[in-house]
Amino acid sequence: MIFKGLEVSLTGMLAQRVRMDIASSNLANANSTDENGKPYRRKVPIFEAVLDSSGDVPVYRVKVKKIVEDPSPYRLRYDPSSPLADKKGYVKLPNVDPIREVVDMMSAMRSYEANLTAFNTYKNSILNAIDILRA
Amino acid sequence: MRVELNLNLKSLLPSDGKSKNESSFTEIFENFLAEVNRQQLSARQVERALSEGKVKNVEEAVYTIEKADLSLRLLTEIRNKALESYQEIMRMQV
Repeated sequence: MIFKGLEVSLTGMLAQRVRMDIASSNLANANSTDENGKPYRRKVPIFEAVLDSSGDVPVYRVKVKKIVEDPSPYRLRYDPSSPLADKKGYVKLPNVDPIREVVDMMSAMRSYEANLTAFNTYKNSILNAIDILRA
Repeated sequence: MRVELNLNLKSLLPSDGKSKNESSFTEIFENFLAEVNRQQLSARQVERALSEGKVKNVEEAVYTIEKADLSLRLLTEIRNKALESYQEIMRMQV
C-alpha cells in the first residue's frame, strides 16, 4: 500500500499525543489525591513497536501498550496543620516533578512535529509523483 | 534487503489472487474507481463527525481525508491521461 508510510507517521503522532496527554494529566494533578484519598501517582505510558509485515519493507507501527504508575516514593512536606498530615506532621504529595513533566511535554511536542514533518514529506513525494502524469 | 528495478511492473498491479494476468484496463479502472469512491465516502463521514465534534483524534481524521484527496488526484490524472490518449488517437489521419 502506498499509504503505509503515512500510517506509520500517523501512529507516531498518536503516540506522542498520548505522551502529551499524560504529561498534562501529571502536571494538573501535581497536588491531587486520588479517589481513595491517597496522593496521585505519576503515570507513564509504555509504547510498543508492532510489526506490519504486509509488504516487502518491514515497518513498525507504534502502539500504546499500557499506562503504568511510577512507583517512586511520594514527596513529603512538613505541615502539621494540614488535615492530611500523619502523626509526625508530614503530608504525602504526589511523586510528580513539574519540571520533569514540562521537559517531557517539550520532548513529546518535538517528536510530534518530527512525525508530522515525515508525514508531510511522504505526502509531498506522492503528490510530486502524481504530478508527473500531468504535463 | 534487495532493491531492484522491476520492469514487468507486476508489482504495481493489485494482486488479489483471482485476477488473471490480462485484466483489462476497464476492470482495473473500475476497481480503482470503486476504491476511491469508498475513500471519498469515509472522508465525508469523517468530515461530518468533525463538524459535529465527535472525532476522537484529529490526526486520524486528517489522515482519512488526506488519503481520499490523494487517491482522487491520482484518479483524475489517470482519467485525464486516458482521455488525452483517446483524443490523440481520434485525431490520427486514416
